[in-house]
Amino acid sequence: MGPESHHFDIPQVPELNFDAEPSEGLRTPSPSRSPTPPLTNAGRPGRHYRLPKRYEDLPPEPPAPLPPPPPAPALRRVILHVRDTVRTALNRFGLLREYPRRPSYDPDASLGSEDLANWDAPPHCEPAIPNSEGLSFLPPWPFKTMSIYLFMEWLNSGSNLKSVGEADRLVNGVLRHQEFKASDFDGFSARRENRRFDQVEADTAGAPFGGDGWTTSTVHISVPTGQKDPTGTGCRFAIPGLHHRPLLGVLKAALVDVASKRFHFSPFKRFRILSFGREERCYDEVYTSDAFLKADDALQKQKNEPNCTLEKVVLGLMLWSDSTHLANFGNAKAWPIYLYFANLSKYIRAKPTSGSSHHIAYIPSVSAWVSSGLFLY
Amino acid sequence: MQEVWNTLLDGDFVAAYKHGFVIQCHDGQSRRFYPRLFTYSADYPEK
Repeated sequence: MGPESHHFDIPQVPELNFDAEPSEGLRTPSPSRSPTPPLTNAGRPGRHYRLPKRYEDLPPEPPAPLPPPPPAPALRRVILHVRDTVRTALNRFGLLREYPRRPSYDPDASLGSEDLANWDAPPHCEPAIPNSEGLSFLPPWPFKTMSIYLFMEWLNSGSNLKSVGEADRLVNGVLRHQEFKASDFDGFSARRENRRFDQVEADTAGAPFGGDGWTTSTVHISVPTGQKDPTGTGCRFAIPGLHHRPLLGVLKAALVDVASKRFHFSPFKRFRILSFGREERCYDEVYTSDAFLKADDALQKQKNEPNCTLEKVVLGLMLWSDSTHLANFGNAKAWPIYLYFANLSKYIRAKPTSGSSHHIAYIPSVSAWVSSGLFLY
Repeated sequence: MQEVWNTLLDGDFVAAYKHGFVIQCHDGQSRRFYPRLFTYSADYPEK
């Protein structure tokens, strides 16, 4: 559905009000607004048309903000073990959040409409420059400046793999960057710069980005031989080629990454208030699940580390492993283990461009090793 | 597979699981994080 389909050109539609309560103006036309309703062509008073409910397109809305903290700093040291449930107000959809204790950080507080929906609000577009001097359609018509003209010409010609979103990214992130200078591009070749980029990782092994800390190990497995073995270890085989990264390093790197801005450090319950006042629990994210709340509760009851008064936070790990084919032809395969964080909303996590998957290991295939001849350890 | 996990869940991770690790977050506050496993879905290797 394109953005256009959100608009309906129906004459005399009163201002649409998406609030739960229908506005006064919709039910009874207030006399101050239209003392004499406009007449139709037939001379009858015009009607007030109202869009059928099914056409109401509610834009998404972030959850209601947290209530301000109570001004009681004297009690802070006691609160740790006391139930200190915080409830937010309802948002438009009747959803509220209930935290078992006051969270120190609310990632949803800064959610913008672009985080909640993947369609852009139809941009306000100025009409084309009026063509006052007769029939002059010379560039930059219909654009404002020559720079925009050249850019738009590039965007709409050549390869059709350039998307509108990527074009905006290029303009706002690169061309308008403070340090961007067109003169730096004297004799530029993208191919050569890419080669330089590849080269630098091979050269600087000690750098933090050099290979991202990947190491290679050998794992040992025990295979039963079919003969009686009192020790029960069977025959030990060494399987080389396990590529992996130190797990703790991956966790630390992810937490200083910019994506951690959206991490929920405190779990909560989400409720929906039905029209007749009944509450319904909403299970939508890992950090609103009972398992997360239980893990958090157990962690808060756990004794603090000595001399540490920092907030204790559950970092939820979600692991997957699945062997995948790497090519459409041939049998190039990889068997990765990858990690997602449960603290991140599934709506962000599941976006292919969010970069929220972290590769932990690539498992060697035993069958490939066996077929190449058993290696006796 | 168990051996692979034996390699991955190294001493550093186990120590962090028990005692947490401190990171300064994006909002400038330091917090002590305790990794906890919530899901693990895997399949048998394909032939």
